[in-house]
Amino acid sequence: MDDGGFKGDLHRVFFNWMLQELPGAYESEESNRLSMAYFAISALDILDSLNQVASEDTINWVYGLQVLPLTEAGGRNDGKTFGFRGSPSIGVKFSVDGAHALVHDGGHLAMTYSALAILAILGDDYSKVSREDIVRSMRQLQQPDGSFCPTMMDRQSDMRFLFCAIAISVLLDDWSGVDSKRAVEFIVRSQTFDGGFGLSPGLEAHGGATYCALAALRLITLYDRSWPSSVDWTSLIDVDMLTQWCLNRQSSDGGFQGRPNKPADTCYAFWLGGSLRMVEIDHLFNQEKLRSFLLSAQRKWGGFSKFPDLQLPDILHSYYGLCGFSLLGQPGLKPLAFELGITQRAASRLPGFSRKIKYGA
Amino acid sequence: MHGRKRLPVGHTPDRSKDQAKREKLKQLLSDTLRDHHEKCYTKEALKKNAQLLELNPEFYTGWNYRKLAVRHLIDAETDEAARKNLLDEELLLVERALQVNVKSYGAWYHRKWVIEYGLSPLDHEFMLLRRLLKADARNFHGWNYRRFAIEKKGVTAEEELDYSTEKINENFSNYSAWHYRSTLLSRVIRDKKSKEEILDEEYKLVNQAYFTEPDDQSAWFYNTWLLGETKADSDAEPQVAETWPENGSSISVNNQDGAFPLTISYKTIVNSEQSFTSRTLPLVITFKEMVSSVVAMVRSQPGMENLGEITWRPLSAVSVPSKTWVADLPIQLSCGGEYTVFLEVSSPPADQVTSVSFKLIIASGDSAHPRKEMDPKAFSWPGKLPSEGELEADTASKLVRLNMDESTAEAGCIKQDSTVLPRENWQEKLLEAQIEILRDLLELERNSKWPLLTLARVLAVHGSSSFTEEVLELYKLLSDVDPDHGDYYKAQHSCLYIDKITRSRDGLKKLWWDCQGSLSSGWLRCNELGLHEFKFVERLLWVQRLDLSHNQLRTLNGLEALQLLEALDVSHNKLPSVTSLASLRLISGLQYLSISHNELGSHPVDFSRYSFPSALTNQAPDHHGKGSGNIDGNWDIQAVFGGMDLKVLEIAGNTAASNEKFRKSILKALPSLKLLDGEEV
Repeated sequence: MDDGGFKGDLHRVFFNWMLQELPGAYESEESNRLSMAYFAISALDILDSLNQVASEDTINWVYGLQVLPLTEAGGRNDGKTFGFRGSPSIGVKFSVDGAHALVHDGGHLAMTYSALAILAILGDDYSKVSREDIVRSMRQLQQPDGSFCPTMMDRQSDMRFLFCAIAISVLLDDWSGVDSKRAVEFIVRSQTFDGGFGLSPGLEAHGGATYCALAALRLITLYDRSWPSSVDWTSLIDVDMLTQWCLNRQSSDGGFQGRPNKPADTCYAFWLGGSLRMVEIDHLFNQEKLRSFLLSAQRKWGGFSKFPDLQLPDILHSYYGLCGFSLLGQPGLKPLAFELGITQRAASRLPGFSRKIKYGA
Repeated sequence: MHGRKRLPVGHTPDRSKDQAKREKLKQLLSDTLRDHHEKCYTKEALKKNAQLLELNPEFYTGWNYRKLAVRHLIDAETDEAARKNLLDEELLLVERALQVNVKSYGAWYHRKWVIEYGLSPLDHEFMLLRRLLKADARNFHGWNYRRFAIEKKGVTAEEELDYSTEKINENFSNYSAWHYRSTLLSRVIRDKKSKEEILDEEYKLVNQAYFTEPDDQSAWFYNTWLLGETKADSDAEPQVAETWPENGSSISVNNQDGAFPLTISYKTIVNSEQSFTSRTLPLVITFKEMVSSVVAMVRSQPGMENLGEITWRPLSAVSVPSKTWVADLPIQLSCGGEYTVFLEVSSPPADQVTSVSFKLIIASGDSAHPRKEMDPKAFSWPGKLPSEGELEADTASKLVRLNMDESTAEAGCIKQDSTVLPRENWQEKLLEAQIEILRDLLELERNSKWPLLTLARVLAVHGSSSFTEEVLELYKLLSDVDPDHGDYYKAQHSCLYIDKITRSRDGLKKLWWDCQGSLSSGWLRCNELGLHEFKFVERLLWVQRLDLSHNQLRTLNGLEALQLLEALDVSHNKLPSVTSLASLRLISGLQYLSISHNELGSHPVDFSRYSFPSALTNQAPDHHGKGSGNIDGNWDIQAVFGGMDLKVLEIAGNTAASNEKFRKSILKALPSLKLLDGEEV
């Protein structure tokens, strides 16, 4: 098969290696270990190589990171967050039965999203997910302005965690943990003068924030049954300016930049390419040039680097580089459910998804 | 999420040093976690925690513990100076952590937390910010923190504008500063009068910027935003865009039995005389925005029966709200004569009423048009029937462009341009000044992308029809100047072009083909126009036969407003799926449809399913039955075509068309079909 320079086999090896053993350079990511695992596992799914993942062990490991109200009978609310924690490194010792919550070592929205995504990819039925505890925590994490904090302790709230909360609601097919109306108001208020979206109202537009805003908006208006389905989500925002802002993020070297006058960076192929896909204008950017940019960031032993002139790949940019190729329709790669961050194959098996949406095989 | 993770990759540190550092980090980490767990909030513990955060500012639990510990110590301290000293320590720690990673969310957030105590001098914060934003003018956290600091200090938006002017003048390419300015300006503009003065000043600043840096997009984006602010505020009240029948038009109805399709002569373009046979007359209203309800009073002179029972239904895929609303006006067969029908429309809560009246002539008794069985072959555009042999040999020669007599043309159906909102003098003046300045700049910077694009936008906003040609030329030029965005400019061009031609009678004349010798009286041919979207349908409510072939259409959304449509050719477009045709279900009289040479079946993903009103969204009925959660292979065919009354369908040239199961499902969904790809069913 002519892969046009795309090194699928090497990427398989790369992600498999990343899944087995993260190099020492990732030590600052220790508390985000679930996210690292999500990148590797979702990548192997896109590469149609899930057979390389020890599913059962991985599922057990993920459940071991679930934070549960194990030790308390009542009074579950005192500053504790349920869901999933990023790694067993902080506080409670690892146990396959999950962990009890500590104020400082509880669930984290981004980790809960990563965990549920991994479980969905591996075909787990969520039977051991403590849904009620997760949605109860989410209700406490939503702020009056509609945004979300990641944990009870960590009060920085913005679009990233809002996206996580919405994606979690879709994955669980349970919307009782979020007030969608307030979330949508927050998103709409975060659109900036140029049409992009900032991490919160008043902040400069940014590719990652724009992706989070659009994905959340789409997920809410499509899957939350309490949301009036007749409201066309694109009528809530300025799509014309958004189009112009997004399209002009593709720089002359073909890659996408996160903000104007910044160098193109591999991961924005996903954040901005995905944003354009979500407003259904991805045919208006130069796909051929994005492809050649991504090829220039592809490393000889697999993976992608942040910039073409870096020598080493890293797992985040490798994952989003791969997503970029999936967006471009690279043969052999599975298509993504862009707003959810998992393959359509994985998404189509979710209970809430298959009822409302049918992805192609 | 991105932005939080910074992966220090690309260097190979000394292994033994690395090992030692790792051991130390491990020890500090476990100390902090132990202290956190045991609620140990001593100064000694805080010191170790500080070392940890300096090594790894990403460790958010470390910051969280720190807040608890510091709060504990401060609460125990009564002396304000001592409390301030404690907090000063925190500020220093944050500065050290930011030297390790200036993008650490945890560190910035900790600083805000400290400042919230109100014991630290804010001037110091502003000094630091100045230094930071000098070194890294785009630093996202710095700008964010500045917003926080001015709020704490009580700096007004007016005062802060000076800072943004300073940063912009330092470097016109500082996009962050322009963005910052836009947020301040929104707060400064309070009333109309201040708006006029402020916008005038802003244009001066932005002109200076783009004359200095014409290739940098920062000022241009700001200019586009100013342009939006300069436009007349659009009326918040929903307004009626168009109706069918049009105000002042005249409709003839022949009282006959049976459902002979409506025939509306091409004269509609000339003098809006229409004649057809029907028991009901469709009434169509389109609004400029979607509305949730419609109140419409219908009366006639002399009085007709049953007018009070007319119900209006939204023409949207899912229900309300909708831009287009439709009702059936019952025609009393026994009551021949001439009526004037009055329609008064409003959409609550808005109280603005639009009045429309048209003449309705009901000819009772014998008919002018004897009833005929419609030949299904007669529907298609005569030039491209698959079975050419069956056509009269000279049909092609009978295709003639409409030749209209200018002197008799009093086109009731072509409205004056209603898209340009009324503007005030100052708005007009600002726009004209911009046009002049941009033209001056283009004299110096020929073929420069941003001035070209901005001029096109300003001219389009100005809206004068004398600029239309120039705008179209500008987009053509842009495709050459900036080929990377060529498809975007082409899409803009096609949109403006269809705007232009549907706006005037002269424009429509170019697209109108009369087919003598064919039953069809005429086609509106919008083929080969490079259309990415078919907008302005509300201007074409009278169209019965529409050729949109050889364009770039990916969806037919919006076409449902064309309630009189009986034949539609959308062959050679980019329609990706059956669901992208969903709006056609709402056109009950559609008999001929060509979707050949599209992309049905070529895409693994059907993105139009998102907006499709069944099985996918929340309130629509289940199409797949039995609650199995699975939708069978060709559910979409039944969902889209089921209930339609198509006589002729062309699907050849789609990947899906060669699929036998696909064809079978189509035949099953369309029992009334006579011809499929030219073959009798």
